[in-house]
Amino acid sequence: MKLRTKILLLLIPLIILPMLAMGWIAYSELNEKSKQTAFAEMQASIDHLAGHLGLEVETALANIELFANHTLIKKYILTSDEEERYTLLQAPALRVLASFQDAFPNYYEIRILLPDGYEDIRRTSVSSLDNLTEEEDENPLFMAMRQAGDSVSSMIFHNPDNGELALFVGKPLILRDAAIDPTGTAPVLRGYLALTIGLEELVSHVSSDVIGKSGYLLVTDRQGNPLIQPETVAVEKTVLRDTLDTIAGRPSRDKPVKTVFNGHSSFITGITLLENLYLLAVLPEQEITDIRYKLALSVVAIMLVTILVTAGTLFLVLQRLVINPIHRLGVLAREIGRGNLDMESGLNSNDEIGTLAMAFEDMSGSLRKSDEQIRYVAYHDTLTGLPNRAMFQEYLSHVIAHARRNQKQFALLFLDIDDFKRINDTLGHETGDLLLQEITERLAKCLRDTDYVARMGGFDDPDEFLARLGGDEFIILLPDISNQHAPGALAHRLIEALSQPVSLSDHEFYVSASIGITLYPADGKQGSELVKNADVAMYHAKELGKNNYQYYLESMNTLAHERLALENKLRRALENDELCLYYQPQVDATSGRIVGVEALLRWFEPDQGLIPPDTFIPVAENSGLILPIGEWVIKEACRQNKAWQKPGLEKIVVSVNVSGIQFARQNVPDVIDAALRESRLDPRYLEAEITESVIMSQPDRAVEQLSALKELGVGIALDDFGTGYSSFSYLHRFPIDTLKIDRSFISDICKITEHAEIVAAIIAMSHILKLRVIAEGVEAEEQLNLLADKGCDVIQGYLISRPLPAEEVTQLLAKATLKTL
Amino acid sequence: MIRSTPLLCLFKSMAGLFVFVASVAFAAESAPHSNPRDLVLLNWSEYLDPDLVAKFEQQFNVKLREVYFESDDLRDDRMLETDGKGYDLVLVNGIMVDVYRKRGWLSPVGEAQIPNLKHIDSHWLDAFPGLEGYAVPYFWGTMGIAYRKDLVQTPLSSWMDILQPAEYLHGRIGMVENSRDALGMALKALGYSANSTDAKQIKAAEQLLLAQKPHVKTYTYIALNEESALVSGDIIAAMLYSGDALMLQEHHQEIAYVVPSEGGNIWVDYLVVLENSKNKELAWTFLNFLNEPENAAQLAEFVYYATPNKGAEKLLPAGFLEDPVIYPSQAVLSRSEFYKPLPPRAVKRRNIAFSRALQ
Repeated sequence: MKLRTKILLLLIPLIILPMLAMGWIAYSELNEKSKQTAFAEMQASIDHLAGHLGLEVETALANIELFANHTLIKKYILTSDEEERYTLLQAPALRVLASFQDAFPNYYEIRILLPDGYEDIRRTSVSSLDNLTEEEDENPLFMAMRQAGDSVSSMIFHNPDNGELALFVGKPLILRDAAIDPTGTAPVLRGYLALTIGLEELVSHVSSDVIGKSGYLLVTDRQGNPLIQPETVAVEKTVLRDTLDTIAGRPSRDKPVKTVFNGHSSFITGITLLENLYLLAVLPEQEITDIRYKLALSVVAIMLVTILVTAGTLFLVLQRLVINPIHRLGVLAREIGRGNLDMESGLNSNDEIGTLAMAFEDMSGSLRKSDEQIRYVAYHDTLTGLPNRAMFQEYLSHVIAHARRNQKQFALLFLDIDDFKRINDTLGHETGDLLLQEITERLAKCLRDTDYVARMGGFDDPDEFLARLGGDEFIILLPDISNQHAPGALAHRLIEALSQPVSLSDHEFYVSASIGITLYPADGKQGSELVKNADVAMYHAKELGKNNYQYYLESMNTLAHERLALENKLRRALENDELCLYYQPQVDATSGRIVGVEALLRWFEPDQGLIPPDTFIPVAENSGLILPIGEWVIKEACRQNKAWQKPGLEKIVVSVNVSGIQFARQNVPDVIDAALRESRLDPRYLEAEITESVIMSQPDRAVEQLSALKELGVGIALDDFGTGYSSFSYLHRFPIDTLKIDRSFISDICKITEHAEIVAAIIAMSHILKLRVIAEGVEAEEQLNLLADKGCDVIQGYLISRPLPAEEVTQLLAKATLKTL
Repeated sequence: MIRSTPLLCLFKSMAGLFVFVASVAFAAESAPHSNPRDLVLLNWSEYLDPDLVAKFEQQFNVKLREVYFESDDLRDDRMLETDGKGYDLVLVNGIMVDVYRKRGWLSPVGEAQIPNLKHIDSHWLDAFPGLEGYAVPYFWGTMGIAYRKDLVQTPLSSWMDILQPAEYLHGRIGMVENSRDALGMALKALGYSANSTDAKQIKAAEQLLLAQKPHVKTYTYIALNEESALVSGDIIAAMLYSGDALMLQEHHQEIAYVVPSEGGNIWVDYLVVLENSKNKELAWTFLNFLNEPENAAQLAEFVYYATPNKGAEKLLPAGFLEDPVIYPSQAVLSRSEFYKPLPPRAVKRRNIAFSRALQ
C-alpha cells in the first residue's frame, strides 16, 4: 500500500469521527436551542402583549378614578334635573371628556350611564361612530358593573357599535350630594362612568405578529371563541375548549403544551389576560420539525465541507511536506542508482526530510566524486596520467564517428619504445617506470597542449590525443590531417625528442622508438583494424632497424601474418623435436687441439626446411618462447657434452648462448644448475655466453647472476666483444673467464691494420686480466696466423669447422685433432 | 403602555385650573374689605362703555372689575367651575337664566332693589321662562354674518355662504364655539327650525358643521377692536352678533352685516346678580345706574345694540333707531327665531352632535 493511501486511511477516520461527534453535539444543542428560542419567542410575545394589555388596563383603572373625581363630572352626575344637566352641564362635561380623550386618544368612547342603564352622556373621538342605542341596560359591561357593586369593572368584548374588540372599563359613581344631602347620609349610586378603549395595537399585534415562520397569536374568551384571529390562520372556534384550562394552568410557563390544535400538532402557550380572556401563542410542530430538518441539513453540510476542507488541506500539507519529498527522494535515489549523480533534490525544507535530502545530495556528491575518480582511474594510466587503452578506444570511436560524419581523415601513430623490455629487465621496473614518465613528458611536449581529462565529457571537436596502451606502447591520434605527410613529420619529431639522452638514477640512457602510422579511412575503417595495422607498421619499423617510423602498407600485414605463423610453428617445434643443436668446434690456436664447441640452435621446419636463427630467434625473443627454448638448449648441450665424455676421449667445453631475456625473466643459475644435475656434467665443461649489452643494461643483476654461475663452477664468456661498449673498465667487475672477439673485427683483421692492432690490444689486455680470448669467424689462414701470432688463445670459425651435428663432433673427437693442425 | 405626557398635561391643566380658581376666590373674598369696594362683572368684552364705568365708579366709590368670556358655553364653564362664586354680576343670555336660577346661583331682583326697572319694556321679561324677578334685560340683537364687502366676490346672503364656503373663503371663516348658535344656524341653513329636536335634522346639521370645519379659521369669537381679524382681512366672513358688526365698522367701513335669508337668531341678554355675591346691594346700585335712561342710551350707542330701556330709546337719535342692523325689519325678525327651552334629551342630542362636530 502506498504511503499516500495509508495516510488517507488514517486521516479520514481521524477527521470524520470527531467531526461526526461534534456535528451530533452541535445538532443536538442547536436543535434544543432553536426549540427553546422558539418557545421563548412564543412566551416573549405573550408576555409582551399581556404586559401591554395589563398596562393599558392598569392605566385605564387609574384614569377612570381620576376622571370620576373630576369636579365637573361629579357635578354633572349629581345634577338630577335633566334639563339643568343637559342644558347647563352637558356641554362643559363633554368638553371635559374631550380633554380626557385628547390626553388618551385610544379612549375613543367615554360615557356616563345612569343607574338604569340609560346612556346619559357619550363622548366619542370618532365622529363616524354611531350610537346604536342609548339604553345600555343589556350591555355586558353594564351588567358587570351592576354586579360588581362599588368596584371597578374591566372587560374586553366586541363593541356592538363598531364590532371591534375594545377594553371596557367601568366605574360606579357613588356620591353624596353635599349641597343637598345632610352629612352622614350614605352615598348613592348616581351612575357609571365607562371608558371604551381601543385595542388596535393589541389587535394588530395579535393578528399580525408571527412567531418564527408559521406561529401565531390568538385571543379567545373562556369558551374558546377566538376574539382576535391571526391574519394568517383561520382558527376554528371549537378546537380550543379542552385545552384552555390545561394551557392556562400549566405549571411551567417556559414549557408549551403540545396538543393537536386547529388540525395540526402544535405547541401552545398561553396566559389569562382578564377573567374571560386568554392570550395564546401557537407554534405548529411542523415548524420545529422544519427547523430541525434545516439544522440537520446545514450541520451535515458544514460537517461535509469541514471534513473535505480539513482532509484536503491535511492531505495536501502532508503531500507537500512528506509524500512529495519522499517521492522526490525516491526518484533521486533511483537516479543515483542509475548513475545520474547530477540530480538536485530541490528540497530546501528545514525539517528531517530536508536533512535527508541534503544527505542524499551529499551522498550523490561523494558518489559523483568517487565515480569521477573511478572513471579517471578507469580511463587513465596511473603511472603516466595519460589516457589508457579504454579511454583511447572510446575516444577513437568518437574520432572515427566524427571523421566519418565530416568526411575527414586522421592518423593513428603506434609508438613502441625500442628494447624497452631489455631496459626494464636490466635496470629494474622502477627505473623503467621513471623512464616511461620521462618518455611521456617528451611525447606530450611534441603534441599540442591538451588536457586529456577534460575530454572525458565530450569529443565533439577531436584534438591530438596521446594514450598509453600499456607497457611501452603509446598511441597518438592526429585528427583532421590536411596531408599525409603530417603524421610522418610528427613521428619524426617524436623520434627526435626521444633520441636525446635520458638521465635517470645517475645513469644516462639512450632510448629510441619505432612508430607505425595508419590513416583513416585508407588503412582501416574500424578502430581495431587501424590499431592492428599501425602495430604491424611499427613492427616493420622495428624490423627495419628500429628508431624509425613506417607508414602502413598492405604488404606489411602479410609479413606480420608470416611472423605470427612462424611463432606458432616455433611453439610446436619445441614439442615436435624440430629443434636441434649444431656444434662449432673451437681449437687451441697453438696446438690445434679441439678444446670446446659452441652450441648453435638449428630449426628444421618440416615444410620449409632449415630456418635460419636470424629469422626465428627474434620471434622467439618477442614471443617469450626463448625461455623454454633456452632451457632446452642448456639441457641438451649438457646432456650431449656428457655423452661425449667417453673414456679415452678428450673432454671439451660446451658453450651455450644465454639471451638477455633469459637473464631478465629466469634465474639462469638455477636453470643451469638443474641441467648440470640432470646430465651430471662437470660444470667445468659448460660455459655460458652472454653479450656485452646484457651485462651493461643491468650491471647489478648481471654481477649477481654471473657470480652465482661462477659459484656453480660454470665458465662465463663475454660474447660479441667489440660491438658494444667494449670497455675494459667494466670487465674486471664481472667474473668473466673468456672473451670472444666479434667476427666483425676478425673478418678484416688482415686488411685493416687498426683492427689487427685493436685485436692485439684486446688479447694483451685480456691476458693481463687473466681472460681467455676466443676469436670468432676465423675463415682464412692469414687470420689464424695473425691471431696465433698475437697470442689469441682459441680459434673458432669456418677455417676450422662449420657447425657440426653432434655425431660428427663425436667422430671429430675421436680423431682428437683437426686436419689443419 | 403608559403615555405619561398626556396624563401629565391633564394634571398640569387641572393644577392650573386650581390656581385660577384660588385666585378668583381670593379676589371675591377680598372685595368687601377693600376701599373702594369691588364689583365683579362676568361679561362679554366690549359690552360696557368704559366712560360709563368710570362715571359709576366715581359716583359710588366702586372699583368695577370685568371678567370677560368668549362664548355663552365658556361662561357656563366658568360658572360651573366656581359654582357661581367670585362674581357679583353675570351677563346671561336669556335661555340660560332659568337654568342658572334653578341651579340656585341667582339672587332675586325687582323694582324694590332697582327702581329704574320701571323704564324697561316688560315684554322682554316674557321672552324666556323664569326671567321674572331674576333678570334685568340688557340688550337684544340678532345673530348674522359680518363680512368684508371688499373681499367677497358676491355679497353674502345665506348661511350656506359660510357653511359651504366658496373656495376663496376657505380658511377665512370665523365661527362661534356655541352649540346653540352654531348648530342652530346650521339648522336654519338647512331650512329647519333653530330649535329642532329631530334627530335626523340635528344629524344633518352636525354633518354640515363637520364638513365646514376644515375651512374654518377659528371658532373663537373674533375680537371687536382694530386688531380684529375681520379688520385685517384674515377673516372675510364670520358669524357675529349684530352690534358687534357695527362696532367693527368703526374700524373698517367695508365690513357689512347681514341676517341671512334663512333667518337668524334673536337674542336677549340679561344681567343677573349672583346668590353668592357679597355685594348684592352694590350690584343693584350698578343695575339701577345702568338703567338710568341717559346712561342706558349712552351704553346703547356704545355697543350698537337695541336697548330694552324705553326711557333710553327716547333719548337715542333717529339714525340709531332706524339702523336696520340694530333694529331689524319685521321681515327679518319674522324669519328669525328666539331659542326656546327644549326637552332635556333633545338638548343632550344637540350637545353631543355639536361636540362631535367640533371635536
